Amino acid sequence: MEFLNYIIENKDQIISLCIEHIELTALALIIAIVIGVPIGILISYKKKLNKPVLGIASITQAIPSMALLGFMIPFLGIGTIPAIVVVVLYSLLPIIKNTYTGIISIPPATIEAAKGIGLTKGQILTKIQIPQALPIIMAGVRISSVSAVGLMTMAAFIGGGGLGYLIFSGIRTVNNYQILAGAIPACALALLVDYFFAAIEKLVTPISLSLQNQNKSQEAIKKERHKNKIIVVITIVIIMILFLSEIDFSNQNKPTIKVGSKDFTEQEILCYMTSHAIEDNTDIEVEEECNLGGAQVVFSALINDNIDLYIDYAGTDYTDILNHKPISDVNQVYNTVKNEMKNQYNIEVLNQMAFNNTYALAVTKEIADRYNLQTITDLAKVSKDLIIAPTLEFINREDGLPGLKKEYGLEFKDTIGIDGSPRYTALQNNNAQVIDAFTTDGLLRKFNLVVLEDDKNFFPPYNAIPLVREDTLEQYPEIEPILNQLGTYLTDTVMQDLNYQVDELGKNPEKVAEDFLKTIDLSI
Amino acid sequence: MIEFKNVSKSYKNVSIIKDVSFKIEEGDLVCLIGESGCGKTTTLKMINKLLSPTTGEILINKKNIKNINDIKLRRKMGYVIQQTGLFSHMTIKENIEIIAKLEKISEEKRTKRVKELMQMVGLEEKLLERFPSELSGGQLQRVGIARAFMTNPKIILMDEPFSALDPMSRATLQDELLKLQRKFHKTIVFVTHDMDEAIKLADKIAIMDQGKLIQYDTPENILKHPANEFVKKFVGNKRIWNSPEFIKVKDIMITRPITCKEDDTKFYCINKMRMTKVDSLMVINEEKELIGILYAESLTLKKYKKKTIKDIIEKDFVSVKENDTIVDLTKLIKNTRSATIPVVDRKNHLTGLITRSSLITALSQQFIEEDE
Repeated sequence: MEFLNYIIENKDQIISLCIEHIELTALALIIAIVIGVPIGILISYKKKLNKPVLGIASITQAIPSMALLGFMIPFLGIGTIPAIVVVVLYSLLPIIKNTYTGIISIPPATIEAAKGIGLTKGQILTKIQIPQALPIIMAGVRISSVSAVGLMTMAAFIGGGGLGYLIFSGIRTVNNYQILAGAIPACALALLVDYFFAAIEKLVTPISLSLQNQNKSQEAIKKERHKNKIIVVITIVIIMILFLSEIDFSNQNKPTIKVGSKDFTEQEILCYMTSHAIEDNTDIEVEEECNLGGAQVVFSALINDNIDLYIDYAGTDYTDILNHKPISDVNQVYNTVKNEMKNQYNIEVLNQMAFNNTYALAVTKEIADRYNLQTITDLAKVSKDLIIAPTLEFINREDGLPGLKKEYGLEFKDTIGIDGSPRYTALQNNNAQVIDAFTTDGLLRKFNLVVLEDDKNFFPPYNAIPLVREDTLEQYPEIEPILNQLGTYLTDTVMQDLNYQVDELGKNPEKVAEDFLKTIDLSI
Repeated sequence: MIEFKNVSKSYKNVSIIKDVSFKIEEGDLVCLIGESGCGKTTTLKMINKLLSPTTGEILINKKNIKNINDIKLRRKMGYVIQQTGLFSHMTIKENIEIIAKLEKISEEKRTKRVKELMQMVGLEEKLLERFPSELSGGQLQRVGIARAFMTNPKIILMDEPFSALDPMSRATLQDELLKLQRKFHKTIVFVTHDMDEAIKLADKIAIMDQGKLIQYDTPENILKHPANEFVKKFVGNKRIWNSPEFIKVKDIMITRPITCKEDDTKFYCINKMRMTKVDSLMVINEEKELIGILYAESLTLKKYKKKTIKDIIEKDFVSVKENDTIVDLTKLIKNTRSATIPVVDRKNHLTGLITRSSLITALSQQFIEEDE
C-alpha cells in the first residue's frame, strides 16, 4: 500500500524518467545498429577482419560496465553521452555477430545465382543478403535491446538520467520503494522492448521461412503480420513523439547554467537548493545534473565544462584535488583552496557555507553501550574485535581510514568497503560494527547511531564551498551574492535536519529544498 | 555465336581448364558433359564471367567478352541452376521478374510477360504469389527456366538444372525444354553429367575430361565414333542401345549381298545358294537395280519346275534405305514377317541386305560385349 502511495506521489517523476530511459535506450540502439550492421556486413566480405573485430567486440563486452563508464569520464565527461557510448559499445557484439552470421549462412549458390543472373554487388546486398539475413540480424538487435534497457540504468551513475536514477537514489537513501519504482518500470520496459523486437523479427522473416517453421497457412501468417505491423508502427510513432517533444523542449534561448552534485542526499538537496535559489532570484535558466558520482567525477565535470557549479567541501579539495596533507586549520584550508583553485583550474571558490560536513566514525547505540565508546580513542582499544564498513573513498583517502588508523592506532578485525547507504544496513544486520559517516548525515539520526568524537582533531574541516567556473561567474556575477547569502542559513543542524527529512521521512529532495527556500530570504 | 579460343584456367598453379577451343553455333543446344571435376561447370561459368580464363579468349558474336561489362553481359543471358538459384524470400513472381524490375521495365509489361512465361513453362498463374518453399522441385525448375526467358535473351546457360529431380519430372522437363527450344531456337549451353540427358537434348555434345575437351560432336557421332578409350568408356558400349534411333540400317546390314541375274539358270542359282549358305538371292539387272528376291523354296517347288528364274522371282517385297533406323527396321520386320529385307538407295540400287540373322547379331552385340 505504502508502495502504491509512493508511486502515485512520484508518478510524474517516474514517468519522465521512464521516458528519458526510453529515449536514451532507443538512441543508443539506433547508433549501435547504424554502426554494428555495416561492420557485420564488412567482416562478412573481408574474412580477415572477422576475428579481430569480433574479438574486440567480445572484449569490450567483457569489461565491467562500471569500469567502462568510469574510463569514459576523462574523454567524454559525464551525462548522457558517455552513458550512450557505453550502451552502444555493449550492444555492438550481438548486432555485429548476428549480422555476420546471418550473411555468411546464406548458401553460396544463392549468391552465385544472384551474381549469375546479373545483379550488381550492391543489389545482391540489398535485395538478397540483407533481406535473407534480416531475421537473424533482428534477433541480435533484440538481444542487444533488452540488455541495453538494463544497462541504461547505469547511466544514472554518471548523471545520464533514466530509471537508474531512482534505483541509485533508492539504494543511497535505503528507500526500497524508490528502488522498486525504478526497477519495476525498467523490468517492464525490458519485457516490452523484447515483445516489440519479437514483433519486428517476425515481420522481417520471409513468409516462406515462417511457413516452414510454423505449419500455418499463408493467410494466418499474413494476419499475424498485420497485427505485428500495427504494433511496430505504433511503437515507432510513440518513440518519435518522445524525441520530437524533447527537441521542442531544448529550443529555448534563455541563458543557462548547469548545477551538478555528488551522489548522496545532502549533495542532492544542495543541488536543487542552489538551482532553485538561482532560478527564483535571477533570469537564469538552471539545469540540474544532480547525482553525478563521486568527488573526482563531479570535479572533472566542472573542469570539462559539463557543469558550471557545484557545492564541494573544503577538505576534499584541499587533500584530494590539490594534494595537500590534511590539516585541521579551517582558514588555512579555505585560503589555500581558494587561491589554488583559481590559479590552477580557473575556478572561483565562493564564501564558505556555515556547515562543516566532516568525516566521523559512527557505531550503533548497542555497540557504544557495550564497549562504552564515546571517542575514537575509546574505539581504538577495542577495534580489533570490530569490523568497519567504510565507503571506498574513505578507504583510499589519506585523510580517511589510512590516516585515521595511524593517528589513533586502530586495528580492525576486517574492512569491508561498501558504497553508500548499504553501510547502514550492514550495521543494522551486525555485519559490521563501525562505519564512516558525515556529520550532517540524516541517516545518523534515522538509524539512531552514536557519532564518536574526533578527540585528536584528526579530520580536516569539510566546510561546504561553492565552486563556480570563472567564465560562468563572469557571465553571471549575480549568482555570487545569492549563494553567499544561502550559505549563511545552512548550519550543521539545518543541514542535518534537511538530510533527515529526505533519508528518514522519505521526502523528495527537490521538495525539501524548495520548502526550505520558502522559509528564508535571499533578496539582497 | 559463342567461341572458345585456346582457353585455359588455373587456380594457384593447378590447371583446371587446358587449352579448350570450340564454337557454339547460334540456335544450338550444346551439352557440356564429363565426370565431376572435369571442368564443365567452370567452362560454363566463364561464359557469363562468373569466372575468367587465365589465358585465351571467349568470343560472343566475335566480341571478346573481356570487353563487355559483367552486369550487361549477364543480363543478356539466361542462367538456370538447381533449385537454390531461386531466392527464398521472394515470391515466384518476384523471382521471375527481378532483373526486368532492375531494368526498370514497367509493372504492367512485367506482369504480362510473367503470365506468358508461366503458361509457356506449364505453371498455373496462382503460383505466382507463392514462395519457392511451397513448390515442388519440378515446378521450381520450371520457374527457373521462366526466369531465364524473362528478358528474352539469345543465350541461356543451364548448370545441371534437372539433376536434383526425380526421373519422371526430369524426363518431362527435358521434353518441354526440347519443345521450347524447337520454338524459340535459343543458344543453350547445358551442363550435365547424365549422358542420356545429353544425347536426348543436345545438338552437339562436348565431352570433357581433366580440363580438356576430348570430343565435340553430334550425339550420333560420339556414340558411333568415340574419339578415344575415355569417351568409349564414358559413353558406355551399350549406351547406343538407349538411343536405338541412332543405329542405322547401314550399320548392321550385310554389305555384299549374294546376287543373281534374271537370266541365270536355276542350277547356277541353287549352286550359288549352297556355296554361300544362304536361302535367298537378290536379283539385280545390269545397272545393279533390284528387281526381286529369289527364295530357295521357290526353286524346289514342283509347280515352278518348268518355269525360268525370271518367272519365279518374288517381286512383291519390302525394302529399306540405308539411313532408316533399327527402330523402323524392327517395326517393318514385325509387320511384314519378312526374313530378308534388301537395302536400296534412292535409285533402287541394291546396297545391302538385312536378314534376321544379321539383325539378331546386331542386337545381341550389347550382351556379348558385356560379357567380355
